Amino acid sequence: MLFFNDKIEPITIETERFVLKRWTALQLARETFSWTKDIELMRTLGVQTVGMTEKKWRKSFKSLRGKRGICWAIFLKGTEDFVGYHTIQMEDNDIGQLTVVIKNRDWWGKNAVIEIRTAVCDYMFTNTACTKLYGLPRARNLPSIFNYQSLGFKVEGVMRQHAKDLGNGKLIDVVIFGLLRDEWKDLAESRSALQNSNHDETTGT
Amino acid sequence: MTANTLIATALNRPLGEIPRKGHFSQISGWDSLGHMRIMLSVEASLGRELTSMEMLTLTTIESIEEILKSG
Repeated sequence: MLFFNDKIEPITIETERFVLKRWTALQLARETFSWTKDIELMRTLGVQTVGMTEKKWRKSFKSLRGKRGICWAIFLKGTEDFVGYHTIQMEDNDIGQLTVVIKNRDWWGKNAVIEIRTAVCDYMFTNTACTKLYGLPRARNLPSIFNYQSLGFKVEGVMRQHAKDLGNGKLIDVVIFGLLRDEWKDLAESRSALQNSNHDETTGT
Repeated sequence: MTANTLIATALNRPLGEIPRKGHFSQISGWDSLGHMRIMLSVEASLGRELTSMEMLTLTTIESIEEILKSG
């Protein structure tokens, strides 16, 4: 079992369509600086990047440096197509905060985040001491809300007027989605049972 | 407008493919972008923005039917 005060070895995760390669926060910041010009993409992150310098962008990855941050670059399997990234910022009590960015719009609306995050949750709850994962999407980030709900994360609360909409400057709500290790194991067992049942129906067994 | 019509239009699916009841996970084509289109269609139909709590609870066809009726 891996604990987060231990040295973390490079980890590669494979899903059906993607490969997640472990990168350092600095490497990820360097390789994604050009993405800061994509205002629509940055808005989903809630980050104001107009005129941002590379130094400031790198600084925004500060909390992911060292042993507390886990950063994966997401590639389309069998290619060098850099689709996006997924990060986990570990906090006290082995709790991790999730962030994902899918830069390549060809993958929007194709359940890419669900596929990637399923593998990430599996990895974290099976191979590490992580007890809980959580995310803080903005309430109007409807695709992100859908993804958390689809994965079985529970709504733990709404922080009212907690962030600023970068488009119109209005204060907006932020939702707290959380998932415990035991809840994930129960969900994984349910999924497995459903798959077996579908397989039995298909094969007539 | 009924929930079924709204969902079928938002997802660009034949009305007959949308069940009367059920969770979004059971409906073909209801993905993250489809979810966004459905929520925006509900708002357009109501003529107002949904609150955060409303958005978080609209996960079934029945819940959409209910909000369309109650406004």
